[in-house]
Amino acid sequence: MKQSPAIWRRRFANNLFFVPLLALLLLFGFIVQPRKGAAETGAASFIDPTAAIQCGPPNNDCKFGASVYIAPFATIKAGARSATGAADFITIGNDSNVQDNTLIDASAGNQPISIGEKVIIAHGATVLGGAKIGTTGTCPPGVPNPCPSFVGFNAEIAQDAVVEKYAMVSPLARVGRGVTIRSTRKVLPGKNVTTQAEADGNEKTVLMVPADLKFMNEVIHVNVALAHGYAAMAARDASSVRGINYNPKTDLNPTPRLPTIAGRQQAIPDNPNRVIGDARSANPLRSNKRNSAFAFSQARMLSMRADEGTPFMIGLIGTLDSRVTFHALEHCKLMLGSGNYGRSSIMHGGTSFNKITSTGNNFSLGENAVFFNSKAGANAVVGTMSLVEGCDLTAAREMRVVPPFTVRACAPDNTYRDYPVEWRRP
Amino acid sequence: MATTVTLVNSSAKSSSSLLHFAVALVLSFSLASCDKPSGHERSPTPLVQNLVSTLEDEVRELPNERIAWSTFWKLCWDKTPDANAYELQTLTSEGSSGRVQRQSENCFRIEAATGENKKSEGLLNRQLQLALQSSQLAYRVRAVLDNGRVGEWSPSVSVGATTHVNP
Repeated sequence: MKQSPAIWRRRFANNLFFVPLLALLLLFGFIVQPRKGAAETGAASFIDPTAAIQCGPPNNDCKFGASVYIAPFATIKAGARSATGAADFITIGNDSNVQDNTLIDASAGNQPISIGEKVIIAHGATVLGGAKIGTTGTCPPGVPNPCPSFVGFNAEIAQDAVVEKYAMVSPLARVGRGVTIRSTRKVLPGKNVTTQAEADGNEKTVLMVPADLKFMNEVIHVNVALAHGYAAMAARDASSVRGINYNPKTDLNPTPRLPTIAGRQQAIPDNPNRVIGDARSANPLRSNKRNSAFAFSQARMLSMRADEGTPFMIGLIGTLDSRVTFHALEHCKLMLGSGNYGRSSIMHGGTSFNKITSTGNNFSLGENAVFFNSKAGANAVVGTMSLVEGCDLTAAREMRVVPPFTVRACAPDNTYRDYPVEWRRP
Repeated sequence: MATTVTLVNSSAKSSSSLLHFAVALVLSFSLASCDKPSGHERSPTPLVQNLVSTLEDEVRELPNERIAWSTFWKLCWDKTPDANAYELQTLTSEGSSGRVQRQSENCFRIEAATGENKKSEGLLNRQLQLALQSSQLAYRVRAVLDNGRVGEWSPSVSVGATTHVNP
């Protein structure tokens, strides 16, 4: 069928638009990143400038694959190089992500660390020397290889421990030295798995379910998109991925936005913290003698990452220790009153409560604690190294305080049950 | 839908409280945009109705007074007139890929918790697993109509939660 000249003209015009766009994508999004701290890095990967990559002489070398995302204030320590040298002492496979304030430390025992493909190391997690994650084991029938594996918020993988492909370690759980979490197993939150019998038994670990695979696949997809987005952004303007700045343009969030600090949208690339995207905070930018709020003026390794598209609202931050992570969801919202945040604590939104994770004023989150997908009123306290998930702490007075070393899990009717966190972070 | 936010400063001790109040006020107004739909489709019709999520336990007896059990989360909704399929999208605690899965049925079921333990312990750690699922995974649904048109997304429903949503 003969087509009219108007159609051909339209097609030509479309090509004029899409071909250069494709060329730009190829140029910016899929270039090979330069070596950072002597870590060889694959195509379209991104290492946040605040990440501490201690690889290469005088340390051992590291090798990261393609589409890897290493988030703000992650620390990767390859350990001291021996006389013979050691190539690829820390390896991270394609499509993996090492999230905010994590520690990958091969200097512990000076043993290599292998992180395979499609591995998620969530905020605040620790992986020590000799550990292998997602490099051994098998994917179940019907699940393509490589299949994902997961280490949750503030969890720890001890020396020589193994988390196989298609295995999970839940938030604030620990896998002890030399223990293997086999494919299809999931360590429950707060559990400390110290023997192989515990790892293979049914008290501390359970079988994974299809919902877990859905979750992991989505997280991988999101973080690959972030790796591409940040890499493209850095290629255009290296200063745009520093300090207080825009979120990358991704299919998750097509609109780059700036944080709003004390009522003003602004980019401050030289700020020592990372505040990204549409995060809005009441804190002043500079410290003020009459006001102890210092969230942005002092180097605190603060990662406030609203890079998935929707704003979150932070009331005055009273005290903020180091390595605190705030992370926002694609579909809203983190709405926080005034609060105090302990070292390595994590404030993370989820999908409950109409997708609003919220706190009242004078909220306190302890060291290494995780407030996840929950709701709290005024004066709520979450103790050291505790996890609150899916709870409405405003529902009853006795719920307002979560003791230290506690996993508080709530049912849909908000009846709750506390489980112990079985280990202590040094 | 606008959202009301109250950001109250912690101390209110000094003259800076006035400044903080002003900042909070500005933030409150600026938040009004938060609930605007972020998708490209702004079609007003139709929205799937009457979403109901339930939990279904299946328990199998094992030797030595043990049980193996699974809990399935099931989401159903009223059939939408003129819909020839439905699309489901997963939302996670780390965002959403935007990918959708299409199906013709008006129910979706997925295993959300499992265990094997002594019969006397009941469904051990079921609540802990469901709380984790509801924190990390949710679904929303829309109808697929003729001519490739799609309805609006439903509100999201957390996996593991038992709810009745009638938007």
